[in-house]
Amino acid sequence: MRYAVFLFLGVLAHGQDLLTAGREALERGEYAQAERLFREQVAKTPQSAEALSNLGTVLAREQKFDEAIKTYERALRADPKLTGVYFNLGVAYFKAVRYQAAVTPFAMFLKSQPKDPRARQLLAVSFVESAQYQRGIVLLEQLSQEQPNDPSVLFALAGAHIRAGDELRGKQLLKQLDTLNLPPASVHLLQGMLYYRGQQYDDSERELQEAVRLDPRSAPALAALGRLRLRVNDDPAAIDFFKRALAIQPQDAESNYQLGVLLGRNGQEARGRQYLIRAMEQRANYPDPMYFLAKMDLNENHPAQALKLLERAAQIAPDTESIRFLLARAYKQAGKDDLAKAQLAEFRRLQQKRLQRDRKAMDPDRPDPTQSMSTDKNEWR
Amino acid sequence: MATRSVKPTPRGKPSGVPFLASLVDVAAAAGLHAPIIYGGVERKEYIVETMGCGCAFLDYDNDGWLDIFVLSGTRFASAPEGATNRLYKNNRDGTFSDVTAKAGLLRTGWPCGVCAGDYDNDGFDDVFITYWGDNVLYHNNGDGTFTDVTKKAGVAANRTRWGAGCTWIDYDRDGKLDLFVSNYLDFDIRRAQKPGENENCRFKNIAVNCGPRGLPPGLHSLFRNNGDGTFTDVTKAAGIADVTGHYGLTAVAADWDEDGWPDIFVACDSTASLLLINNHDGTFREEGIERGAALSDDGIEQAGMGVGAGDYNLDGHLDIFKGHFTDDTNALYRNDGKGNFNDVTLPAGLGVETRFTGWGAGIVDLDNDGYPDLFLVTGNVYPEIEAKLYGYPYKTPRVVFRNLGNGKFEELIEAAGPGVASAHASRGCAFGDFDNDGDIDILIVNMNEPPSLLRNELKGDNHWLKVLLVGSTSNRSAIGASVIATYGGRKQAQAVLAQSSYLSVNDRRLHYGLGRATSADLEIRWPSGREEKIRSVAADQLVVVREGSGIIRKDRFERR
Repeated sequence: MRYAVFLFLGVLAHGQDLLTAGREALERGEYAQAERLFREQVAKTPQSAEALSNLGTVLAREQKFDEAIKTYERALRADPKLTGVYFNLGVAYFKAVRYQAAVTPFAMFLKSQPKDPRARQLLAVSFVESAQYQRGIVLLEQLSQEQPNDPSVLFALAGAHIRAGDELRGKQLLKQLDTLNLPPASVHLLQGMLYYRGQQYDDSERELQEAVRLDPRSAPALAALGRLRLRVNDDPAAIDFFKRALAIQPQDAESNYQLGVLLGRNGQEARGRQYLIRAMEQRANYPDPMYFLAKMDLNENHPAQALKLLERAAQIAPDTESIRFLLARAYKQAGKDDLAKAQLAEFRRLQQKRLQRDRKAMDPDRPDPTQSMSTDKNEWR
Repeated sequence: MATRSVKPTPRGKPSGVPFLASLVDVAAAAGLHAPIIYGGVERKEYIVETMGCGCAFLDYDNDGWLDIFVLSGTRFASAPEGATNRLYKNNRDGTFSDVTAKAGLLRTGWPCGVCAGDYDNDGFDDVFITYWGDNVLYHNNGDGTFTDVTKKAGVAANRTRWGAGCTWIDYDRDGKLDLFVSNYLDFDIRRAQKPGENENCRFKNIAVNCGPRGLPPGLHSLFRNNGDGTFTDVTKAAGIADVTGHYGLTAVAADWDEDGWPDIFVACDSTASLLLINNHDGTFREEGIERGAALSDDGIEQAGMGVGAGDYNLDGHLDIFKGHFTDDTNALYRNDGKGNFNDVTLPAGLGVETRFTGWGAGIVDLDNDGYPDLFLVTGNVYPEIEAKLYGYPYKTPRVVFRNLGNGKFEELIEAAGPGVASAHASRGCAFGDFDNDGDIDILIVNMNEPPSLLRNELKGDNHWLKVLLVGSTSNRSAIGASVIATYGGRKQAQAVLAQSSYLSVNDRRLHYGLGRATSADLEIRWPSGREEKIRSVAADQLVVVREGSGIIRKDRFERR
């Protein structure tokens, strides 16, 4: 996907020369020169949204995303009406693989330009990458109807459905992609993800390995291979895959989380903790790293720290049994017995609910087993 | 059964300390030839075929020598000839004679658990057997025969169930043994789904028999002994009917919270295990989760099958050792003496083993060094998967975790003898001294094979002591009594149980390895509430203690 960048072309009388010279340098690809000129202008007019916006653009071109983000945010504080800067900010977050943070700026931009296909696609992918699959899928389905032959939209949509567990739709889209000119590595990646969902792990591994062979920088394929190795407790290989994925995409919350857990359970708790914290920072509403960090805290007898994390995790995922159980343990360890008791009661309620769900799935028409069955017995007894 | 996909913890360096016990399978020489039939050999269509059954070491004729009772099932296609439970009488020379027919115990079906206890206090142990189908109570007539008194006694279930665990328990402390029965799940073959039909019918994407997840959990029962050979179903009145949603298996009745009243621990498969605490008023409350004995330390349900009860850390309290499914650790729970448990699996070093599915389990001192070891029999449930999944063989070895005396254990397989290293698909096992030579031997149920009888060829000169309790005010079998033996500066608690391991019955003579100590002090807590202390009991003998009368008999065994 190509990202358009909105350059601020407004002209102010004061400092016009520096800005013009900076933009010309940017056009020529002389980023260092452009950065110097824009910084000079910003130093002169620190509240100039135009100067800040242009500086943000050149910083983004130089892949200095953190600085670019800060600069765009300053520009928006100076003038919140600059809708184009919201788009640039979203792109900077997106390129920094901070998908969740990218959602708001893209949404802000779309308020003023609701039909912009690029912003809609980027917002959709940001949703998917922050595990908000359904919101992403709705947007991508709309886009695919408008642009039925756009391979990038179909690829994103297929990936979203597969990750959301809808194998059937994923397969349909993969078939559709066959007719388009999608890079083969991407096809193998999608196929590998599909097999993974279908628990055909050997086939999944074969496809993903092929994806990595064709594109050694395919971070999603490397991360998926890490998950496959993790499944069979091959921790060294899993650690290696996640490290490789993170070397390419350091901001991938899920890989940071997986690597954190793996390192933690292989005697490298301090390093594992760093990755878990990173995962939490990258995806604000990510209960899994919170749970594991809390577990480490409890093992080190820091119940107060654990409680902070677990209370937050329970807000995000209120129906997760393991979080409720650990929260009860943390309350108990902190001497808050009544709260522990309440959490265990909730834990028991969730367990019962799950059992009922399991039973329904197995035999929806079965009568209540607490009632007497007829006295006839089967012939084998 | 549920798998948690737990990674084993790294193994430490071997301790290098020699293990003096060596377990050798002498079943064939002892005359235990008949295979234990249980479902298909190559493939299991239904969960009923997978769970297997228990066995018992009991002295049914009171001659002072342990006899053997082995449950055995059948097959769906047709019952093979000789598919019956079997009673073997001890010939006192290392061999046994099959006396099943003479004893009146021939029966073909799908038995699961067994518990032994003298419910009518006539001096002979009676036997209750659970079935997928109709449970059976056999009254021991005292003349070498048994009579099916199920209907007369009123302990038949009011509907067809899959009875699993059972235990005699004097829950109201009236001196008469009552009966608790755990039910595994409701299984109706007419409605049963076939392998692969839904997500609960697959293991690692291979179609296997369905369940237990998705199948309706069993409802457990409690029967109060009326003292006239009959029982009253008090399931509802005792609060047992309120305990729902658990796949109950082995039931162990003991005074877990040491308040003088017997409680019940039930190992549950794929659901939280149960700890039924006695309220002293004829009712129970379930507190397994609250007391830390129900789940893994991260709140995950485990496939609890067998239970060992004993005092691994010599603090005078009964701890729990529980076997689980492959890709999970077994669990060791330390009791604080008030019935609160801490999961010490990983600090105790048990996390090294996750390859096998564990069933029969015990906390028993195999080398008489004074520190109880852990023993576990294993075996997968899906014979059909090993051809595709090499890491999941159907037949697997037994496991010894030898107690290093510092709260930690060391796993031994080959080093514990050929009977341990030998691979079988095992289920129940019972611990006892069948040859009366002062050590612990082991009887094991193997699926579709003859049982194993592991004779302990113990070397060295560690001392031991056996204690057989006879109740007077309390029930005659003294089930529910506990004995704390103090020896060499250590104290070890044991309890008289009607069922433990996996749906099985151990020797009621409590066995204490004493290490270098040549005597022990005994502190006995009878089910009636009476406490007795007996000082300086000499080692290397069996003492028979009658409630209120002290030691009434001593037997010195010959070393064989």
